[in-house]
Amino acid sequence: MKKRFITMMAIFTVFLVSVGAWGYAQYKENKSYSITLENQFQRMFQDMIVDIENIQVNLSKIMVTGAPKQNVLLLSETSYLCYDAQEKLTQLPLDHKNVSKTQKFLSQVGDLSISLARKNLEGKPLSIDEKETLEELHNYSNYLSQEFISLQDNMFKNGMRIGELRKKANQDLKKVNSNLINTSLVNIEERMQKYPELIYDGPFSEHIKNKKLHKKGRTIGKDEVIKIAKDFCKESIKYDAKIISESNDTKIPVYVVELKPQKGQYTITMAITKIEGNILWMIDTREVKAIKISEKQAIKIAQDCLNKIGYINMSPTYFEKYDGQLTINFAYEKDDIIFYTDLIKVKVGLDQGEILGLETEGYLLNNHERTFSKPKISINEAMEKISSYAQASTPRLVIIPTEGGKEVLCYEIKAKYKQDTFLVYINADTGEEQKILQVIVKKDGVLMM
Amino acid sequence: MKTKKRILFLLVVSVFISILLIDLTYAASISWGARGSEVRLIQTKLKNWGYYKGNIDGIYGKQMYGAVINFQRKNGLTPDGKIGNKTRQALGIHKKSSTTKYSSIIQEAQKKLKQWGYYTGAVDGIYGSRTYSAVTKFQRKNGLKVDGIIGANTKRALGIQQKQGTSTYTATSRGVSKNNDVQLLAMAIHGEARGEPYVGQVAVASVILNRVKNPSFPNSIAGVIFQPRAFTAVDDGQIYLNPNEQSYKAARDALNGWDPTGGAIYYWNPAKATSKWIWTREVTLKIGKHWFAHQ
Repeated sequence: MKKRFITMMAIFTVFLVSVGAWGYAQYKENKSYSITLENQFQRMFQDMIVDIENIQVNLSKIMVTGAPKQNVLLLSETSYLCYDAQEKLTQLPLDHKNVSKTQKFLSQVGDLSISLARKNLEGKPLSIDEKETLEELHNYSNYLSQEFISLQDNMFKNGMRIGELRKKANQDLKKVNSNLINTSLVNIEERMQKYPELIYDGPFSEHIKNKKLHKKGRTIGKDEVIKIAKDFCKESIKYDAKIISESNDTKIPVYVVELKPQKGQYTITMAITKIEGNILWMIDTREVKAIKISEKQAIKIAQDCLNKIGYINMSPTYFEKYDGQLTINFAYEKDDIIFYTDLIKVKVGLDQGEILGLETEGYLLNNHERTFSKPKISINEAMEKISSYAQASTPRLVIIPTEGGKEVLCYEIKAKYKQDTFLVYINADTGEEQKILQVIVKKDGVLMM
Repeated sequence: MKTKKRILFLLVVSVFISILLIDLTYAASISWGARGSEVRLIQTKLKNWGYYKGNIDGIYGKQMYGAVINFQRKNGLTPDGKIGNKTRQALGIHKKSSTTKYSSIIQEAQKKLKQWGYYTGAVDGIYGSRTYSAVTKFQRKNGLKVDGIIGANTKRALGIQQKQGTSTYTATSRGVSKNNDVQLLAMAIHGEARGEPYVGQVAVASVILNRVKNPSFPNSIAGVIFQPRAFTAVDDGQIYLNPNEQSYKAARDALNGWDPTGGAIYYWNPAKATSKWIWTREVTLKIGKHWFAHQ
């Protein structure tokens, strides 16, 4: 009896010890993970503060340099620092609502700096207004820098861990530590809300966000929406159609219609604009079977479809093939000018040649009557801008959007360098090189880099 | 003694040849501002004939201009101060080949000089005074010998290839694929919106792409997807499940520009959302189980 008890005890002890050892190993591993994570967070946080310090130093230097070349250097460095700081900030485990304004500030200052650098390169000096804006942004970045430095001091003093913020998603913020970080961030956010609206030629400019369709026209009723949707689809098939959603405060307010064929396992979803009743987008989920038609035939089908619904002067610019479907980009063409801004995409199933997708936002937002004066630069002058290393083909006139959403008239020149092909865009009025794209031909389509 | 003489002879010949070479590259008509051996030659001729009274310095200056005009007038030529072929003939200077000859190297140099802002004339491959002043300006800026000759060093500095390069160049297309974007988006769709209708899946991918374009979010697809605490499926690891075919298809449609949300940057499932803040967003669209918001 006693012997048996001792054996039991022994087994139990061994069990306990091994569980303890396992638990300890887990604990150690867990600790090492959280230290590694904390180290990463700390490094990002500290680097970000250094970036922000340098941003405000750079912005102040711009106030005193008179040399445009020095300005270009300072501005491009500032933009790099801004993007870098923004990238680091977004990798920290902070609540989006507590840092979104600061992130926006960093993106926009970076974006603005690059656009001003470009302006300086074109030989245009900073205007008084721009200088004042930069001054104001300097003050904000100075404030940001000060706040982060004091947060950093506090964190060092109290031995705070950034990683702890990660766990607090659902719990009350009991710990003073995370509370302090969050409170300082909320304070910063409040202050950052007030910096001026920035309007310039860049992707994060304020006016892009506010771009909306201002087209006036007939308001479409719900019954008519269903009719428009059914008219677009194949006549031979009967559909059950209903409005499943609607949007109001978007760029283009729409009704979303869902059509289900009475026979068949697929859905067609369509968004139809509340004004004028245009199809904004259409997605057909029908599965594509064996490929039967050629790309050429598919492009013809897409073009016929566009003609049918009233888009006449559309010319195919490039296409991509995947999942047995061909997606074709069409751009508006008028007076031998291609408008890359007025874009429509059509997706055709290569099995039965049916339209499986349509997307017209670019066209609906941008197409309007335009007048252009004759280009100031001749074709020959445009060709001279191409590097002599490359072989250039004859240019054609196109409209391309700038990063800030403006339109520029350019010569599009296809340039070849050894095995690589590029599209170079030369501004038809200033002769500046506006943009360069690399064309990469892949098995399933063409990529633009 | 004999060898010394021979060396001297060779030296003289080489100097002669180099002068000849300079003359050859030095094409086109000569006008105000030009320099070089031919100017010197013309000055000598003009001085001999009593038109020119200045120094024979090889620089086409004011005094020489007057002399040339005088000479041209006397000889029934157009008095434009430019020493073209006719004036040369009248002066008795015979060039071996016509100096206004087109040269592709000169044309390339002109193009480069124009691109870099040194040259303003026509890119015609003919070496005129404007080309000369552009070349000298370029040489001065780049620390080269300022002689107006497009020699080997100048060519190198201008980046003009002398021979067909032997350097190998790998086509860029081999090093590019957009597959990583498709892959990441498909993973996010599968993790976040597996049970949603197809359009709802495209919508979720669109929100990710709209965030990339929004200043308040990271600037890359990976940055947006892996932002801490942005997506539950990323925080709990569901993103690492293997995406199905439909997720890839939805990812491609979103990347190609289909955006069912019309620019939304938030979405949440009203049955599950825990953040109080998200409920303060204005709902702009509802698709499947998800609500979408623009601000």
